[in-house]
Amino acid sequence: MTETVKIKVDGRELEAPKGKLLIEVCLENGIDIPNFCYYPDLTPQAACRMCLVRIERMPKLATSCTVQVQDGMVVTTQSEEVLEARKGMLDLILGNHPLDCPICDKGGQCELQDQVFAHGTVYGRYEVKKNDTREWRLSPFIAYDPQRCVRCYRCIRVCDEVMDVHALGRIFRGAKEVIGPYGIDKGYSLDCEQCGYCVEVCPVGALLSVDSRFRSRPWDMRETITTCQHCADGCQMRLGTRGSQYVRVASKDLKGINGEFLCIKGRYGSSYISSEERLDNPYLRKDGKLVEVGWEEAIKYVAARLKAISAEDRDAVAVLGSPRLTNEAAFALASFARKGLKTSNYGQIADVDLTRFFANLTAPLATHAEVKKAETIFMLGGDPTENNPLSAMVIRYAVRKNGARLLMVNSRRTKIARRQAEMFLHIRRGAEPAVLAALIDSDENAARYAELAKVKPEQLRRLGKAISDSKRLLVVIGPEVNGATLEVAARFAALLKSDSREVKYLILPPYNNSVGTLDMGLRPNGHELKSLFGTKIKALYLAGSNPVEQYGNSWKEALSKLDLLVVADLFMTETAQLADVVFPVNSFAELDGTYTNAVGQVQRVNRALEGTGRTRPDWMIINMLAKEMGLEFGARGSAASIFRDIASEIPAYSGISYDRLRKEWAIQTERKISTTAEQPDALLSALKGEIAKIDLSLDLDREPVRQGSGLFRLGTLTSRVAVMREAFKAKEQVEEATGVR
Amino acid sequence: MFSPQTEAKIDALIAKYPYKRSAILPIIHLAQLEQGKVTEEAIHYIADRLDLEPVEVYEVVTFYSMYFMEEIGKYHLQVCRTLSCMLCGAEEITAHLEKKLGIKPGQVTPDGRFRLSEVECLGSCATAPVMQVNFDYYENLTPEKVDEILKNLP
Repeated sequence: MTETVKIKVDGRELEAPKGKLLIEVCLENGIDIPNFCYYPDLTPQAACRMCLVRIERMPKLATSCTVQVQDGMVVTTQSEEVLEARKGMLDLILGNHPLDCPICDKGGQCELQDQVFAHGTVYGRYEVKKNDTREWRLSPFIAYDPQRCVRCYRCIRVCDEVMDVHALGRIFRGAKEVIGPYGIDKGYSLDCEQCGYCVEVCPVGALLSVDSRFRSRPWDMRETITTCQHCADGCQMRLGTRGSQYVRVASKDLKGINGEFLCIKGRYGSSYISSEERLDNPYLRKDGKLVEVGWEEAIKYVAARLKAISAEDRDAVAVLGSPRLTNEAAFALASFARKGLKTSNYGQIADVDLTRFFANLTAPLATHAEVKKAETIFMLGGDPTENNPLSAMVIRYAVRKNGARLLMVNSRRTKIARRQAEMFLHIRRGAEPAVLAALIDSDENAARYAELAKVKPEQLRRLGKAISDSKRLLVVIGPEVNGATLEVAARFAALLKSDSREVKYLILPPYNNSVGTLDMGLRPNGHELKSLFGTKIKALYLAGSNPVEQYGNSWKEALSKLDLLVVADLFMTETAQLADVVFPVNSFAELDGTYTNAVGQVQRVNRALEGTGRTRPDWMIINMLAKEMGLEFGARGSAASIFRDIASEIPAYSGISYDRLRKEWAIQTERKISTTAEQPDALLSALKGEIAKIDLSLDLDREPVRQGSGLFRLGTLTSRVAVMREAFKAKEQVEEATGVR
Repeated sequence: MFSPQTEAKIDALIAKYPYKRSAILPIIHLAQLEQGKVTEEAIHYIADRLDLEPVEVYEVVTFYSMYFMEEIGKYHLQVCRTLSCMLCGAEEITAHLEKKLGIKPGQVTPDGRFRLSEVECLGSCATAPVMQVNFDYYENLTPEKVDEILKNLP
């Protein structure tokens, strides 16, 4: 336990842990101290001088953002002297500020406005001409107006410390200083992950998001807190909308699992919801062509065809969902297939069979907050920097703030391997089972596993020792761990956990609701069912998936063998173009529902837009179909009532309700943890087949993972985000032309 | 990247500090001395040697007035303009140089021979006005003396 000290602020006795920053103690106790450069968890800067307070027995006013509380400290925050100092500081900051609030995107949500209003003076004392500088376009996503900048350096520190990208610096000096990337004056642009965290932490309108520039005043838009639909981390975000249109995504003052963190996809990857390409009416194939029809005609057609096919053989109708659907949609889809159509062929298209992980789990899943506190982190595969950015952020946090030991095994030189890992075993592609076996097996076989993985036996021994030395271990499993290896990885913790060692897991699934859709009963059997298309399976209802874009020709050919293909999606995707009927669905912004993230936390998706009224949520389309077909599967009329069914039918979700979610934001589902003792031999024999599959002809992949290789990849959704499509196409063209990546 | 002598000096500088990055100032000076300016290649090279990002070296280069990313010129004429020199006629010296060379402070003659700069205190107040040419001091200046100095530069 940290020592507690007593301090006195403005006559109030306060208790606080010794060494805590004075500003944090004051803010937590409701004592307002104005500040710009203070930001939680960043190194103190003392650049803006707004947080000056009088501390007894100190020779002059002190910056409360750098002072640690000591026992007996007596502080004054409200004296005339302090108020005068604040006025003076604001006058200095406004010395070069253009006061162009009427056209500033930040106007109304600006910390400088608020502080001048609360602490400033009416008359400025500086009469010299203001610096006249133009705005810089730092990247297709981020703009910078140096005149508005207060030089608090939150942006630089958040980029250096939290993101570990180091893209921004203080360029030039004194009054000419600007924030920018290398060579800002030579026309170079910001070469970074484009997460926009710098924009979010900017207290003023200096750093701005290009995509929402001049689109709306903050008070003119409605902000809805919802869950990001891009990856399995499930960040919370504020979706800003105006009328029926998307405006922006922000994360200011959020209290969810991610705080104010978002990645490029979270922050800039949602404008597709207002894309002109969105489907607005059902399509029906007539004379070989897809033509727009009304809902009634489309539903009647599909119902009749499904009924006829199902009457001959129930299993001839297949239903496939997507790991992007909400829990409510996935639950409705699974119930419709199981209880309504009574087909055994339903599930989802997925590359990693997570059922093998969850069915064999021997330790609980760590939340992101718990990852931050990890002591030793063992990563088997995975590149969260590119694919699960919040997970990467909390792993970096554990290393940076708590000195966590990071032990990494990966076939690629990822950014975390290069920068945070204490130990990095660079292994042959596909050799994860050999490393896992080495950790389970006795030392005499180390040489064999080392050869399989193309590492030195000594490295495997050091890894084993570091794991056995750990007190609190986090095992992170990447998406390249699959099949039997994934199952053994889930059972592996049983060998490690003891009274003196706590073990937890973090898994990195590819999609936002990979875990939830699995819980709802959509098994990852899409690729197996595909082989039955045209033979056993005649009709397919496909919701939210675009396998033709993802997997190419093999799916295209398989789908063409079907008698009936029904696709429910947002866009006329490559897959939808092959369909007999296409249903237009609501985007996540037009829906109520829930997602379950990688760590099993259920979070709300909140309806931000009304939609056109001609699109429908997936579950509603299912209801319409079932009604037309005369099938009963327990249809419900709202997302909330579907969720009540989920909570009562699926044990992990019992006790969770929309009401609780509104108050608690994220609720972790309870997973069944196997408590049976595991025998090393059983695990080793389970790995045998996977080890045999290791391709010994493969050399090490020495190419380091390029920044943005996962973040900047366009998919079905992001290719409909104008700013991303243009930025990445341009980048690709430059790379192709110059050969420089 | 640099000559063996400069590389050896860089190695020695890096070895001298507990943190590599501490060697950044003298290393940029060495790079500038050898190449006549701080090149972008040098910035990337230095960043690499010190485990920094290029922008972190760029910050330092753009902060200090004694680093130049454009050609310095063969002779860098640095006229002191701080109090003692100013009182003893530094402004006259600068005006004379401006007229003679046809450039303003901060500019380089078209032939690349001279760069004219006004600098702050050179610490030689007793012999004001003072000018530094590259690394050599010239003291108790008069316009005539300046002409003589420029004439004798090789």
